[in-house]
Amino acid sequence: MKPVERFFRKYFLSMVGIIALFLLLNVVLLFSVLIWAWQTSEVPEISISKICDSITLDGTGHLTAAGALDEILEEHHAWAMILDDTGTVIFQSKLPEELPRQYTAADVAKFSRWYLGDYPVYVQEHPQGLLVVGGEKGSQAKYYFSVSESYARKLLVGLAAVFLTNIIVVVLLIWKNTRHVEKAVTPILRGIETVSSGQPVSLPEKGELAEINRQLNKAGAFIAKKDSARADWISGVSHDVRTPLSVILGFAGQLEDDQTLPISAREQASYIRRQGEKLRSLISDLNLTSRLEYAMQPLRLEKVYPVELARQVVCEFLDGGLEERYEIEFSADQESEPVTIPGDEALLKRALGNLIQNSIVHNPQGCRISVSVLCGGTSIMVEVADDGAGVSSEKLEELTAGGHRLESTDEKLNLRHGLGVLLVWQIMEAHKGTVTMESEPQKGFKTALAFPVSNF
Amino acid sequence: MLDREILVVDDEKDLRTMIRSIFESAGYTQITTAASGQEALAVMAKKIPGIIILDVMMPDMDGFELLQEIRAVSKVPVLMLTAKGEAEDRFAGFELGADDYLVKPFLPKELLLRVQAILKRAYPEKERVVTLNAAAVDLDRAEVIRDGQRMPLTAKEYSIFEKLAENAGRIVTIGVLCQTLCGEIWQGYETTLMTHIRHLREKIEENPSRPVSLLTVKGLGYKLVVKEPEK
Repeated sequence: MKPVERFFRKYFLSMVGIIALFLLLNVVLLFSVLIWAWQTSEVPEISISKICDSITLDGTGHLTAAGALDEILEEHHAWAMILDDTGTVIFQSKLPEELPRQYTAADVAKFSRWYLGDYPVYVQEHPQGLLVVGGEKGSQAKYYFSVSESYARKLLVGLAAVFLTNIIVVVLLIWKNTRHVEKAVTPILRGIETVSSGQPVSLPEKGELAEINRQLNKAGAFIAKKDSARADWISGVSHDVRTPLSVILGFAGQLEDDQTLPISAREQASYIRRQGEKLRSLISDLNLTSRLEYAMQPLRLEKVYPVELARQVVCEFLDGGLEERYEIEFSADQESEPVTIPGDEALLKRALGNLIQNSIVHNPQGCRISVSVLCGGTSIMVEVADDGAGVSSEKLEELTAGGHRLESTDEKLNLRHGLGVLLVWQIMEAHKGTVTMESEPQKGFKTALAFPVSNF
Repeated sequence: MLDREILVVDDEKDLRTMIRSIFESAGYTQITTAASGQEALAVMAKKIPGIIILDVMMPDMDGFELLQEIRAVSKVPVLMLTAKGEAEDRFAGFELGADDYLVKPFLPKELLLRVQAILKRAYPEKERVVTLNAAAVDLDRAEVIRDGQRMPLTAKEYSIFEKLAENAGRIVTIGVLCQTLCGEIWQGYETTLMTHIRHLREKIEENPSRPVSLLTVKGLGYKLVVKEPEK
């Protein structure tokens, strides 16, 4: 289920990322607007200190302005005045007519904070009194507010809390939404996984996505139907071939043994018989392999002694008239003797027999085959090893990698080598065991079948 | 044994001919064939054969049905032939009282051997004497005959020897022998088995330390080599 979980975690994180990006974008935009407004607005920044410096006392004790003052004031459509301690204007330049020439302390306090007759004003201390500079009407917005320290602090904390709450709520909502989607979609994804692994699927056909579930169930049923049709077809074909093949084998065998026939005719009969026997084992392998693949072969589980089972298989080969080029030796360690596993005896014998048969078939020049049973703690291992030709690493990979399945594309079904190895994999899979194959060219071939031992 | 009557029931004419041919060339003289269940019952009404080889899949009455009808009137040994290899079929056959079961396509030799084995079991010869290299064993009386002297076999020795004789020429695994001895495969009976084998050898072998009749197959089991009775 990992990919599905990963997908939803990614989905959730990406949603959170989107929100974070959104916030960041807003902050950036806000600052850009501020910078843009500041940069593009007219800057009527009057240098008050310059004005202050340009107004000086002359030798006669009168205030006079340097030439620069008029220029500055002209540029900003501004005016300037100096009030003495009594509030009387003792110097002025371009002071509008409508403004008074005498101010009370209250007037001063008022205009220093707000406006003087709609003129935005700035004040600064001058050696001779108070310098008041007025700007153009409507050129400046002046606000003034003061709040208590604790109020400001609470406001700040509150704002932070609101911001945080917003973030938490958004993240929670995203999470909830993701969970909702996940809940609805996970069974479907699981269903798809099940279908792709070839297992039957059955999803509840209700809820918002019922239609998809229904379709998926249909797909699963369709695949299962095809599988069983294929298995039935294989079984039917192999069934129909059996009787004719019996007749062929029977007569070919008799011709082969008929002493009255010329040697060449008997040899030809022997070819027919041998090829017929190949066909015979192919047919029964094909039938079993398709039944195992589509899980139509119920396992008949019983208590099986691996050592005894291996012994019987080896004995069948020895009794069956093994040619002299071949030698089979058997060994089992003491610990393995009493071990039992739950297994289908006939199938396990088939698997082991196939491995021994493979060693024989692939080493026509003869070889020594050793079958051994070893107990390794939590598992019991049956090994079949020969000292024959072995296979290249590519071929070994082909035998061990995915190719052991009866793929729906039949190009992987290589019937030239029979279905022996495929069956071994399938039988071991059905027994929850593992298959390991080792080989090198000219260094023999070794297969180990390992079964888990539970009651150890 | 060769004069036992064999009835072959199969709807396929070629297969009937082939089976007849197998048994004829093996020396059997009394072979009857039937193409259907009805025909087979008609043959049986006249005379019960020594053994019936019966195909499961037949058009009018399938092999299982016919087997039930046969069992209603006779205990004649029946070997079932089937084109299906599935275990269910096999069990169904045995439950209905089939003596053996062979899956098509079969090898002619296998059919012959199985029929011979069934006949041997069903019609035991009067004297069951196994001839060995240095001695003979009378299975009915559980005695070893050696140099004109008779020596009794113990019950355990007898059961081991009987098992080996049944499978003469083939290896009988340690597990199978332990099972005949004690009913269980492994309970540490292997050493007990070896003791019995040693005692058996003392009775039947000329030189018990160099056996020629009761052979050990290392790691696997034992094998009995029997002398073919002189004809």
